[in-house]
Amino acid sequence: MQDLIARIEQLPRRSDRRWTLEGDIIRVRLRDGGRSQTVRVSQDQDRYVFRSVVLSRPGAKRTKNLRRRIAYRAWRRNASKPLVTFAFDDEDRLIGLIEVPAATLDHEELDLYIETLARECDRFEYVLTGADTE
Amino acid sequence: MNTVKPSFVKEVINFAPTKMAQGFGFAELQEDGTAALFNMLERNRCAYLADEVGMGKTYVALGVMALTRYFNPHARIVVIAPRENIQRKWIKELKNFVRLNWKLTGNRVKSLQGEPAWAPVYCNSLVDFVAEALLDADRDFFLRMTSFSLAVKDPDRRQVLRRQLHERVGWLPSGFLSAETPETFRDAYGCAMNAAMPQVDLLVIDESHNLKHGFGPSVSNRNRVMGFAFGHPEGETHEYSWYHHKAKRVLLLSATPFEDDYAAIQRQLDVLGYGRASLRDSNGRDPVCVDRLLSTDVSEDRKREIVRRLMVRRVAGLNINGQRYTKNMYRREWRQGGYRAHDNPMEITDPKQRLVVGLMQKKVAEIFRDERFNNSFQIGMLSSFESFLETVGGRSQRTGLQQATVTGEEDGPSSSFDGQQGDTVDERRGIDTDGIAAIVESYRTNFRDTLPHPKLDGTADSFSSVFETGEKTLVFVRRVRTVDELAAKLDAHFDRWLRGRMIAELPSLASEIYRFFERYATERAKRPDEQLEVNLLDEAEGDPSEIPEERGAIDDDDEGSAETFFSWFFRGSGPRGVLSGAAFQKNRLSSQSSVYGIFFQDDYVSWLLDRPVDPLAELARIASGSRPAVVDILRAQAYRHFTHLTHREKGYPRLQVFLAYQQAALELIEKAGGQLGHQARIMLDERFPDPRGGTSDPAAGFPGPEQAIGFTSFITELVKRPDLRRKIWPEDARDDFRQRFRRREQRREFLSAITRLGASYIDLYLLAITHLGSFELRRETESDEPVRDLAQAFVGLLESQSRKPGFHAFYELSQAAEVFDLLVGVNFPDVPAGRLDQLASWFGSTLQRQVPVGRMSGGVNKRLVSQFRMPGFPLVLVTTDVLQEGEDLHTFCRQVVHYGITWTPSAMEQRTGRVDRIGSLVQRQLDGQNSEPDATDFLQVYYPHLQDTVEVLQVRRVLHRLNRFLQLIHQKTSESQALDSRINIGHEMLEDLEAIPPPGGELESAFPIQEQWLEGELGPASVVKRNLDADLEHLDKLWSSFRKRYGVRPLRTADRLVRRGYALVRKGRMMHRDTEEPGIEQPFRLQLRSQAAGDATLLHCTSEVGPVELEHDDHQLDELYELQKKLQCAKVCVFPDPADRTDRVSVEGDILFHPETTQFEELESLVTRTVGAAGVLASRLVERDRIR
Repeated sequence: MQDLIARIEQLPRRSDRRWTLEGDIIRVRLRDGGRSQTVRVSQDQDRYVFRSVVLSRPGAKRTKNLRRRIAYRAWRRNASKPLVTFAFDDEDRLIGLIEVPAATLDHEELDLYIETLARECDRFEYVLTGADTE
Repeated sequence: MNTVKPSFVKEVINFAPTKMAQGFGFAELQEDGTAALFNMLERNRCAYLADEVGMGKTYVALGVMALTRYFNPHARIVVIAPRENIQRKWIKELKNFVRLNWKLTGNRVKSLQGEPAWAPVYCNSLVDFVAEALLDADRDFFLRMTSFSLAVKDPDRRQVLRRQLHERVGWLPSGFLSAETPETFRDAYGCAMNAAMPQVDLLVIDESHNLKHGFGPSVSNRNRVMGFAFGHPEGETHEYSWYHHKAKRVLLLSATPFEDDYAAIQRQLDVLGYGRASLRDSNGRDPVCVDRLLSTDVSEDRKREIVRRLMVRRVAGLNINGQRYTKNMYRREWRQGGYRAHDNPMEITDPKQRLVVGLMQKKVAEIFRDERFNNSFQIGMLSSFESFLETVGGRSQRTGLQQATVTGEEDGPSSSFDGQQGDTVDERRGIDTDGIAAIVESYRTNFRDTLPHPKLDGTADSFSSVFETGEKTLVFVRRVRTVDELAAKLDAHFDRWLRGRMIAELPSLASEIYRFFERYATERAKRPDEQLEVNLLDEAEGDPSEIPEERGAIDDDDEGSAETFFSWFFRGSGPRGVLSGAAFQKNRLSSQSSVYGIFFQDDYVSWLLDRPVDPLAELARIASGSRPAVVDILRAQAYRHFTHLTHREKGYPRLQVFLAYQQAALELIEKAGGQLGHQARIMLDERFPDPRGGTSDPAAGFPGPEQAIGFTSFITELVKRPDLRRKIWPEDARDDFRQRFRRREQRREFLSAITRLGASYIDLYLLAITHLGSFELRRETESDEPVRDLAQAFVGLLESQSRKPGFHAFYELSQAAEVFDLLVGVNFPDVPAGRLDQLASWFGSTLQRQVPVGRMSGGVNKRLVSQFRMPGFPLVLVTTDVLQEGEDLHTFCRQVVHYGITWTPSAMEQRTGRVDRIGSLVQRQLDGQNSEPDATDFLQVYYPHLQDTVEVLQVRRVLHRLNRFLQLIHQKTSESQALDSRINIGHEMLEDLEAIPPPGGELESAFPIQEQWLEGELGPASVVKRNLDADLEHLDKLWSSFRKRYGVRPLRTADRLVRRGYALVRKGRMMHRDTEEPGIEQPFRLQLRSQAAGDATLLHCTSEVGPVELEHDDHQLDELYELQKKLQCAKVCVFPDPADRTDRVSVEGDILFHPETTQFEELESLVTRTVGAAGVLASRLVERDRIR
């Protein structure tokens, strides 16, 4: 995992990438409208997992109907969006994630996965809330 | 900043991918245009393409869009077309452009699948756009201007709009759209649209002159809503956190960017938030604000200099006999009003008609003296110039439909006219409509006849000859009612022509033919108001200029009406008990059981075997068997196919028997192998692609192969006449057998559809009756082979017609064959890549319901438009301004009649531009000609009007304005003054009425491309190309290893980018097939595809779960929710299926794919996780018993 963090730090930044790294959290500044999004990296056995929260309010605070509507929209969005998976975690948060084998991840892929995940999660958050809290 | 040279553009785009396109000679212009405009956008963020009508602005814009995407794979593009038909056309052209013109297959512009990398989305309304953009903003959106024309006067309508938007953008502040007045609501709605609008990297506005009134407080709803939606600075005062300027670059398109004042350009830009854009020169120096165009202190020359920084306009020309002819030279304008002799007035020889003209002039003069009009009128708004019949309360009552409005916005009052013009209710109805009604009625009462209208009658008489010559004519009128009135007169001419034709061909049946016409007249009298086409209005959008797409579904039957004898006798009910044209078509040619059912079929087997004398013997030789043995094999196999094709319990329809035997014989040849076998396989794949089924024990009565292989049809007879065949069914010389066969079939189905459904059918039918010798319904010939006889006679007739000029079957078929590719491009874009077994239905749905004279008002009838592009019916198309913009009608038409004149030069130019385009009939005939041109071959433009009437004044005013527009946009200093659209007859009657000729000499654009805009940094060496073969090779290697590791059962697929198979899954884990443990068979699919928003190749895995009811079953949805949580990272995908109200659920996943770095473990991880999760969902939600 430390190896991954080091690679992210050393990743040759493209001119339009504006990231800041704190521990395992990357804050990605997006190119349009001054918005940003947080991506967290972790390791699960032989895989790296990149996660970004879209909606963090716990499920209990949402009505059942609202939760259903969000779930349906998330699955429909999955049908049109490559790479990123929108799913619900154990705490009923709506998250976006990308999971890849650790051994084969190269620099170019790492860069694209983080940027894509941040962009898609931010856009979905805007669509659902109009806000930029995550 | 990326700037390009034209050579870079040439490396990535082929603007002339076909021989015909190469002949048009526009490719270089389009390359230059693309490079210059792209560079202008890079420098100034806004640009204006103002090439003359018909030069392919759409394709240059598509080039700019493609370059934008090439350099920025994330670029989001929005196109706004003026109306629905043009919106559809953009999507069609985008697909054509990507398929044919863009040279690089990759992940940016053309996906690995050969389609646009970003899917084009057709948006039927603003709400539709919001929904689509929120669902997935990484697509190209195609909207229309009329969608921005909101009807907001009605509070209930506002309530609907408010609710729709809140449903989709739930987080908008609750009181945000609660504005009480229409104006404040409209503006708030535009701002709310801005919230849903994603950032747009390139905004393309087609026919942007429609925005010429700019963004003031009193402009149309359309301009206001559009302005706020894209973040006009005026909206920033509201301090909404989301409100931003959303268009990073704008590209405007119009051949008529202004009327008589450059300020119109600034006003158009202002709507989109570019009203104060800073324009630099190509080196980035000397910035100047575009709002200088508004200043009266700035000279016209300086304004022209400013405009040159963002505008490109090129002038089209034809090269005739070594001289360049610009449009003012190859267009022959009939400005004096007549039709007979060039530049002579229209003659009125009948004293009664002269009297009527005088009477009407007196009445109109009295109306002008009314204090409401003050001796003046708005151009184009006098009804009596067009016809005497009233519109309002006429047509609308007959059809029971809402009356067309003037402005395209719901808030406009009803009108007698289609299109934009007129300020007051009186003007919109025609100020003289009520006044002349009394005279018309009085005449009818006293003389028991309709009041003659010299201009209307003269027009119908002048164009009645088109039925002899096939010369197509496009007539623009202003009044809705004139469409029917003029068309009815032309229909009457056509009926007389048809009667003469029938009697000439069937003299012994003349008395019966006369009787048919009498019966038709009786039928017609019973249904005097019948129309062929009823134009439905688009309720969703409320725009009367649009017809909903669903109309295609209700137009399936080729039913005729009583509108003309042709539609009644050849397509409609016709006389009872008679073998009418319709009856012969229905009972014989189109009947699957009739012997004529295979009249237009080709004998594939004989063709493949090079037409042997005895095809069955040749088949036996190939199969190395005896003839009887081969016949038995064929019967068994054909019967299997036959029972798959039809479930009829009785009888053996000729067509199905033919298809079954052809398929069986091709399979036999395929089995024999070799080159023939390979070719047979291709023919089977292309012509009979569906899986086989049915039973194979042939019934005793099942016919033998003799009538299905080696038979005679029109096609088999045609190939015996090589000269004729070359002219109407040419074979393309292509090395690739698949392409050769596909082209052959495409052309055959095309030929068949035209002959069955077009004007050619008249000849075929008359020939059939000649053979039968009677109109009796069940009459048969005495010949044993009636199909052979008719086929031979028809081929003979076509040969004889090929030596005679005029409008006949040969003319129609040979003309269509000559420009087949052009017609496919404009009318049938799905044909080149489409399935062969769908061709008949594509061609048939477009070519059915033909009429000799087409009528268009209220909305665009797409089928009629497509038919007018063909060489046959309709020969005349009478239309209001609904066809003024966007539609290409140039393929066979070179006559435009401005019967009802319109005020603006742009509108007149747009109308004429419908037939003056790349690849037009005029261009095809004259360009490159080495002899002096005949003026009758030029594009004829008529301005019919009567001398000695006030109509002369309005025509003169419009001609003056046309000339001024030409002066402003070309290299000549304008000295004309801006002119008002209102005419004061008191003043102008006293003016000198000299002729107003069009400008002479060769025209030169005032806004050509300046060389420095072509001096970009990047040339052809900078183009990055990719090698797809390496991807496929690597995929095959990984797939092969994976199949072995898991014992995957592969499935066949024709798509080289796809691998499919079945995997064994148990408790969410994928296992080897040889394992003893039970599991479920789970299908999956791997596909190489392009990343939708980026430049990566993805390996995509899909595993279908099945249909689940989610939207309407909370229990199912909750179960899926809980399952997904347990499965953690599974990507659950839902695709709604509106047909049965269920959702198709699958589990999917992707990895980045690169031939050098993607490893087996990545593919393995992708598939096993996807398939495992799908197996769990399938076993719990769909197929709980699918255990192996």
